[in-house]
Amino acid sequence: MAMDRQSLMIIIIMIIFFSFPSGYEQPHSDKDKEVILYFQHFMTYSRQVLANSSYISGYGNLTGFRLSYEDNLKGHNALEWPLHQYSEKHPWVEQEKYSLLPNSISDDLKSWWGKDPVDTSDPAAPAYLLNVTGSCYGDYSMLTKTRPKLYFFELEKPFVEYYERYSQSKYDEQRERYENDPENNPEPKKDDDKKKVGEEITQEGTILLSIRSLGYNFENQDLSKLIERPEDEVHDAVLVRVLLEIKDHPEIQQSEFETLGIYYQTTGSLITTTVSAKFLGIHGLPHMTFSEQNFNTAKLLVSQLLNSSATDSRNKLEKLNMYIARSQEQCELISFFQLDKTKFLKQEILDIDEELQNPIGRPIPGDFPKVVIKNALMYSPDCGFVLNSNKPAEGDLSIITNKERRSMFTKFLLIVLIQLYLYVAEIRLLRTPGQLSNVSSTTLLLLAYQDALMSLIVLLYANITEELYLILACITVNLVVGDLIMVRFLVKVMCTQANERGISWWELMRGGSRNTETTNTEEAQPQEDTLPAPVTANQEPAIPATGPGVSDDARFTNGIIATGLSASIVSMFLVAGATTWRKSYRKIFEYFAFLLINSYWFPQFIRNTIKNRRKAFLWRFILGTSLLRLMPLFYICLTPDNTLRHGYDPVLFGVVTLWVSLQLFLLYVQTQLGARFWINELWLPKAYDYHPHLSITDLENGFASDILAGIKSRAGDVTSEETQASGYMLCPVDCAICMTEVTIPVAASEQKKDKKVGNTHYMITPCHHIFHTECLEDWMKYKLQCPVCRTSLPPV
Amino acid sequence: MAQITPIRGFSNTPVSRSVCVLTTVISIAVAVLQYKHYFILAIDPFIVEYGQYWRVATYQFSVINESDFLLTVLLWFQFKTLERFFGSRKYLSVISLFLLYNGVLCFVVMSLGQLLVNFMMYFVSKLNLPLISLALSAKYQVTFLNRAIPGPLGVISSLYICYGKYIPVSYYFKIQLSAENREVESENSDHQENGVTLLAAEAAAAAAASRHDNGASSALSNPSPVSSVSPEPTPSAPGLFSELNLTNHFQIHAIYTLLLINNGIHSIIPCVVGIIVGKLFISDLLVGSNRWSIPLPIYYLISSPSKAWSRYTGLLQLRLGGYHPVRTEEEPEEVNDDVRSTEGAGIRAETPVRPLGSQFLDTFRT
Repeated sequence: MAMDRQSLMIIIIMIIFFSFPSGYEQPHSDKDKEVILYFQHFMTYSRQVLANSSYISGYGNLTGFRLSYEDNLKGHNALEWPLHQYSEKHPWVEQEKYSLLPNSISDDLKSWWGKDPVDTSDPAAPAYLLNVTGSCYGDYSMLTKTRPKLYFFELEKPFVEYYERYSQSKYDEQRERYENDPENNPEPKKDDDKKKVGEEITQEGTILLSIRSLGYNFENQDLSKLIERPEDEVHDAVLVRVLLEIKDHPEIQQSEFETLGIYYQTTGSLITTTVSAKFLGIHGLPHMTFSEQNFNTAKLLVSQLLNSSATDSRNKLEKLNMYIARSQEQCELISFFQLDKTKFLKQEILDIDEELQNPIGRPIPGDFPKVVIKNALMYSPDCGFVLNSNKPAEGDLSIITNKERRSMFTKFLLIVLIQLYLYVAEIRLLRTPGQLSNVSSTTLLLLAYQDALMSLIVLLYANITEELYLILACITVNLVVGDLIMVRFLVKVMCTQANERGISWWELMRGGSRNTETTNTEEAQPQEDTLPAPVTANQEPAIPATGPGVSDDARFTNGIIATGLSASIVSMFLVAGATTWRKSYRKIFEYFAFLLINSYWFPQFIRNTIKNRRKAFLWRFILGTSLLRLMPLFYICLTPDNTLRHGYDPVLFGVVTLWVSLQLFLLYVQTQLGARFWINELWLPKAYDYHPHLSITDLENGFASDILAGIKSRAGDVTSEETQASGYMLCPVDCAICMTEVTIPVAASEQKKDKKVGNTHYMITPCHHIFHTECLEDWMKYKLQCPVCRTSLPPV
Repeated sequence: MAQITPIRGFSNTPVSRSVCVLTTVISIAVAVLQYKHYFILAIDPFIVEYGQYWRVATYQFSVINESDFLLTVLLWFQFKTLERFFGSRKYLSVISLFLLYNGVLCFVVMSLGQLLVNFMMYFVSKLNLPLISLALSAKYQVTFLNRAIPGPLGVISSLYICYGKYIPVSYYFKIQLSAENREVESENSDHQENGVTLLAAEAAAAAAASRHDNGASSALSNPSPVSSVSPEPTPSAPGLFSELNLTNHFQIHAIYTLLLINNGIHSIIPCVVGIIVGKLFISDLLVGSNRWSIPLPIYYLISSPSKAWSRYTGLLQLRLGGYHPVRTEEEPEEVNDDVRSTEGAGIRAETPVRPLGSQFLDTFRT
């Protein structure tokens, strides 16, 4: 489902909010307190019903289990309970006359659920998984030909009233928020017509089980307190929580069910149900296990679980809200799963579990067992659908997933470290302003942005996975260090290029900055092409004089950090949100995002063209960075069972690789054919000439008046014949750097100007200051600014 | 800045520097990547049950807890003096020798010791002594010799013995523990106000020289930390614990003692083996100790990896026939280790060094 940014923000804030230990909500009114009291009685009574029941005596007076399927078909009402009497002679049996399950379902289940127990007499017999904590991915299809009749489960009256109040208050709250700030809050809707979770399940789709085992009852922290006798310990079954995510293939409809159930380790069978105020699935679960032995185990475990949660009196209101909200907002679901046998012995499985949890170096088999569900059946009594698995579902135990993720992140850490090394090595080489001015700051910005985004994502992930925290934190630290180094370098680059502000790229390409008045002076200067017309010395605003006090350094740093950080935080939310989008949107987003963040060499290509430099970075850096950044993509796209559950997508990888190679190819061609190979030379502006020939007319325009005055005063000394003969006057000017004299030949008239005269020993800046060539070249290694007036200088 | 050791930083002690860096890097990597279990040595179950003999080779290469790390690195740092004494290559050779002997000997001691203890217990249990036989079962069981703490504890112990043997004491000092002496020794009262009495430098030097000349096993060549740190009553002080006579080696003794007892019996086992190896070494009884020297490539690799790299690429260029610079013999850098020298400090003051942290901070300062 597509989400706007606002709701994403709210989700993130909620996640942060829920991760804090919450002070439990307190009931507000007397009515609420009454409902809570009623709820407690309701739960205590149901618990007693379960405690007093036996297999032959049926469900008892349990909410949601009062009518058997046949009673439902006949149209009985739950208030008519009891409709059947059970005794030793007429025991409760698993058939639709007495049971909740229709015969079509129970017959099917009897044929495969729990039918293949492990042979305990044979020590070499393969066993089922013991610890099933993990996830499992499979497909389902809906059984349409035998659609069972819908149950109507009625919610008890106090709960109905409470639910109305509860949803009304929620609605009011939303409306209030909407009225205060209509732009940022969605308009509230009365959810009368809202569909229940599960009602929109389509014919076919995928199903994801996240199984979390609570462990043996004698090892569980809460349950072990309730064990008094050794008979209370259950060694062959565990309580499990299963989160079922049912999606259709394009991932438009998504339904989630939190279920609770029991896993039988000897038969590899798993049964779970939802629990709500109108259907106490977990209380009735023991009767759905098809044998008295299973029933007794289940009854023991369920009673212990219920007792332990009953003594936990802190979160009564939350529990009530959950029970009631679920009863109104989602379908009930009873699900049966049959696991496949592993090829390992029980002891081997024990060893693998123990070794992966607390590694000490035991020898364990190299291939780990997988969670394989052979058969699955999900039945919703109140929404009347039956889902069936059409092929075995497979997945990894979470300890194995963690192990694989750890090795993946170790490799990622290596990538980050190599990248860090490349940064440092490259930055150490790029030191002079000449080199720095060739570097594209957009390229660096894109690289730094990628790193920042990655570090934020890793940090977010580190907070939700305890087991991988250390390595993820390590990756984050390294990424942040790399990022800081990059930002420092970026600031340096931007400071060097600060003199380009206010100059268009056209002027930059030309290399000079004195062309604006060419047309005005054209009449006065007939030979425009040989010498661009001089303009007034301070025509370009002197950039660094913008204001004393704030240094460029600090301003750039603050700007980059502020914008970069906010941009990456926003992108992180976007990425986190995109993972829940439907498949087609996600795909478009992926292509767009990957192509965008992998366009980092294009700005450099343009920069090279503008500055007419073949190469700014070493090939080691360019190739290394590109390869390192493609590697994670290679992993998620081309490894079919990667731990990030990204689908096999060679096209995405191919497209991005081609895109990056194209950029690399362009850079390579630039080094071979010249930076401006793709632009016709005729379109290019001429580069600035630092060694122009000067004539008297030039000196009258723009140059400091004392030069002319110097000539005039000298004119008396120099014989006019000498001047006439060569057509040149030698004009002494002081070089502002070395404070010694530099002599420039000045043509007496425009016509004489193109005559060959040695003119390489002086340089004239665009702002008409004259220096020795060595003096100014030495200076230009440090700064591209005129030493006299600080106007930016085009590079030589 | 205060100088803890006689040598400034890691000047001309490349092996010590590499060892300290490696210890740190390996420990951090092992912690982050959760490879700690590859460095644990225990006879049962790893050797007996799983047959993982490679653990004998690995267990000395990384410490796995923080206090061990701190003590180990501090001692490696102190042993820079030994590197100067031996010379870098010889020092690395000695370390590698100690690694080998300690690894094997410690393993042998542990496994044979465990068997022996079990045999003794079996023997005692068969003696039909009423009380003890009941307490001891005849079954094989894990004893205190089963596990050794990972880390180069043995190597450090052997080096510690070498340190005591080869590095002379440069000064002694006393710590007055009680104020009673004030009346007895009124002439020293001005020193005693400070609580620490520094003996005259000449006296110390003379004492050191005489002890060294005699070659007798005096306090400094006696490696037992207890004896050299233990209080010695002086004639002037009537009380037993009225003053402490200490040498400039006392911090090494203190750190080593901490390391020795840091993990109880599990750290004492490798340390005792290390001390024995060290004793054999200083009395020239360790086979190969004179002739063994570490191959040059390995030495270069460990002492200066960057130079080793350039050397390697230089060789490659030579093979390929490209340009290669003339190799220049590397000169040891001139360092003045004298604490009192202010030569370097003067140059530094002119251009204050900005550490990385303050460089970052300066960037963000407006």
